Amino acid sequence: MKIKTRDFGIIDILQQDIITFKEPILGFDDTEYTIITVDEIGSNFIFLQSTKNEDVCFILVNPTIYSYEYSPDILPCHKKELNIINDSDMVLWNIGVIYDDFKKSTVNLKSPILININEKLASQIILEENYPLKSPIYTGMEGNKC
Amino acid sequence: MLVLQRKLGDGLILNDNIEISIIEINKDKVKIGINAPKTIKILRKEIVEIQKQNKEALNTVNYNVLRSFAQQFTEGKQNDK
Repeated sequence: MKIKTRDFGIIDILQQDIITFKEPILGFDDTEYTIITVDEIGSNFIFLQSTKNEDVCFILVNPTIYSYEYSPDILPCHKKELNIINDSDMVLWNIGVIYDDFKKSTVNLKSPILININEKLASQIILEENYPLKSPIYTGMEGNKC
Repeated sequence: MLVLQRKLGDGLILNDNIEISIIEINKDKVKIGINAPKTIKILRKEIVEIQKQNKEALNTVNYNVLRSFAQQFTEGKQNDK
């Protein structure tokens, strides 16, 4: 099926490319998204594009690029909600807030996007642990410690 | 900010039609009951903050900035090897 995207024009996706959110991303109504990766950007930053609303597109950041430890506990209730049986079924991404001045850009570590990659189910969870909503992305990356 | 001290079982009345009660106190957690008309919107503060942050993410995101940074980042990592 063809969908309109914010940054990439009209693209063709398959039914299996659709990720369904059990609860909408907080503040939005959309529950169906697709992930767009771009070769020149690489796999550490991906686009989460709503399939129904071209204006709704988030940039997700791969938590493995931070220089600090980020391996939050995922509560059993969150895993259950997404039918996650094995930890290998799940991936965690952080929503990035990217500014023109990249050094001001932040990631939301407190409420990451949890995805069951097998069943294509997702949710924006809120961690019990005390992570910041706005963590600087630049100083948080390997090799870029200021 | 108005600061009041309340005991377990005590309550507060706001605006004649909203009742807040202290139901349980447990170390660093407090259980609060709220009786209010259905039209009153009640949200946990962190949810409101996350909503704001999510909206900010859409307002500011810039593909070109991200692309140039991601390229620099990848090159930087390759140089480290």
